[in-house]
Amino acid sequence: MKNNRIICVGNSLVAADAAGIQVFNELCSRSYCHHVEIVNGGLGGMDLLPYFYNCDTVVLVDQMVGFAEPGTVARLDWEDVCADWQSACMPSGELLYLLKSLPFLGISPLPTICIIGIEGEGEGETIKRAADMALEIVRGTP
Amino acid sequence: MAKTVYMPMNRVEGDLEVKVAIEDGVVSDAWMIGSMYRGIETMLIGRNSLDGLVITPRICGICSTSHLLTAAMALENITDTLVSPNGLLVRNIALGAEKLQNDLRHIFLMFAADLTAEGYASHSLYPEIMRRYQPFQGSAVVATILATKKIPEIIAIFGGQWPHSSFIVPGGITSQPNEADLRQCRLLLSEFRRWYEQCVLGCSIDRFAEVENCRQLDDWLDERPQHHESELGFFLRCCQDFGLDCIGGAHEAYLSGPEIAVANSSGGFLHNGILQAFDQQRIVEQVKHARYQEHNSSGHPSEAETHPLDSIEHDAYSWCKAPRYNGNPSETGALAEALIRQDPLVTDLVATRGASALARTLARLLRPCRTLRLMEQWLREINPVDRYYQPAGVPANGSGFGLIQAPRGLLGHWVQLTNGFIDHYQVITPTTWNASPRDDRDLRGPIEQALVGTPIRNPEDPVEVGHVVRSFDLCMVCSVHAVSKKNRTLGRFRLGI
Repeated sequence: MKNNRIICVGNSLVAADAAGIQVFNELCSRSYCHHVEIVNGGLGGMDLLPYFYNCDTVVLVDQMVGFAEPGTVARLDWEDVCADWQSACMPSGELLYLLKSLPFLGISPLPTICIIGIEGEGEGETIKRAADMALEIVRGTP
Repeated sequence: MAKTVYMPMNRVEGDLEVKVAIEDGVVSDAWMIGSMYRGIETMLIGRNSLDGLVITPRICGICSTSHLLTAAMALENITDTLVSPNGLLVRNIALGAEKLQNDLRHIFLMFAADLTAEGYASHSLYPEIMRRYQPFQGSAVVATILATKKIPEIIAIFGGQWPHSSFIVPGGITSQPNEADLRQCRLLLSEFRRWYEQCVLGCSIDRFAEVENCRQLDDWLDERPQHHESELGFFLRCCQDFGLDCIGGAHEAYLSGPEIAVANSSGGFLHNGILQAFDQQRIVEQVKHARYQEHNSSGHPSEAETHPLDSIEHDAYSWCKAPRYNGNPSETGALAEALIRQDPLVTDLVATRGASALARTLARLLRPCRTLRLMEQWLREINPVDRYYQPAGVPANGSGFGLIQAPRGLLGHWVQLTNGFIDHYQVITPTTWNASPRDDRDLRGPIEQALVGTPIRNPEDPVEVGHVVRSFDLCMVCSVHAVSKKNRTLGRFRLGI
């Protein structure tokens, strides 16, 4: 059973929001990804909840805007995201709402969760770097 | 002197601002400002005739099945395609699943969150409100998240995934669900019914169906502790204590699409108490106060195009057009649906106490009673050995439309094809009806009208505005979402839907 998940979210139809889906495509093209389940989360928010059950690690890959220079790939820890965003609400920030709700939903054990944020639309090298980083996390590489 | 307050609505789908003028503690005027250009229609022009089936479900992460279904119906309308009976049943079941999820999540995750506002902290019900509705962890919030988690699995069984499925095509659906699939759907539905009856209603759906007027509702509330303490019972007590039954009445014009997704089936239009059959020819989009070029962006949706203004004109304050039915600003959604269907309880509530934020949310909270029964019936009617797809050619030329009653109200797609490509596409979502700006006669849109007269206790925290606006269950668009980090706006982080 695959007990690690990489969930890539974004809108494949909108270039400015497609980086997560580009990472999904990149990961799918790699033959050594059999130990991890790669999920195209699309525009899913609260409905990604089932993917947080029965696994050890969940890595979310998504676009970020305004945090760093374009081309930056950053790792954000779930606890920091929950602490920083005080006003996550439904559904305009549905995935944020889900992240903040997770401790209260009775998921046991709760997986390790982290987020890979990609600044900018995502050039080829940036996408590969984000894919590498996501795989390193699920392999347990710091 | 009037004080003007801008209020970003951060629990609607996308970007919306409400501007209200407050005079002597009462809203004296209101403007609904859709602050984001959508442009999906423009994106579709020149594409293959079937591309609307893939692209339009991306308009919304909540109502993607509704858009898919409406897009398919618009194509079927061009060729008069018959849908296989099984395909029709599955479509209706999928649409019902989307409604079930939307209705409960909207009430307990979005609407009820406003009841936790600090301004209510001194109210005697406040501790219980926090226990039930506190964002992320309130008991009703958590229970709703968990109960609605499984409902989209019904759509996934039929369509392979949810949201943004592509299983509905002209002629039916692409899958061939077997008896085991249908059994699984029945199981999911029965689990949801159990939760809805035990926790939300505090009684069986059959028992609640006996409540047909306000007096019986009051009696029901006091009949048993299970009713009084149920989510419905507590929600009613809160809304009445906070005066939500006295705010939020709009124009007395209600519009509803066909409940069952069948070509040529009719919805209704209820205006000043007179019910008429719905005729899509009577829809007109007006843009005097919208940011579109008037000469080519107004008219019937089969002709009105989407051309944004080169520069923002003073009177044009919203990216929403102003759709009108028979020239009237018209409310759509669960309340309109219940009134047009002549639901006895909701009809009596509006007749005796007037339309209100409470009436609107109560209609939505009770809609699952009907949706669940219909879905169970449709599941029974499917014969898995019959076909789910009636062969249909790919339309190449002509004009068509699809209209359904989506979770948030009347949804319409209009398409025109030439030589297999899309010449014209127009979508009117339920929120475009409800959150429309003023029209060519300067008449306010339904929410703008509903806000006028709303008493505001604290203009610095006009939570009453939130009650009224959110009672309409808005959906603007789901693509860009902004949040602030540590209450400082550092930029925008796009996460999810």
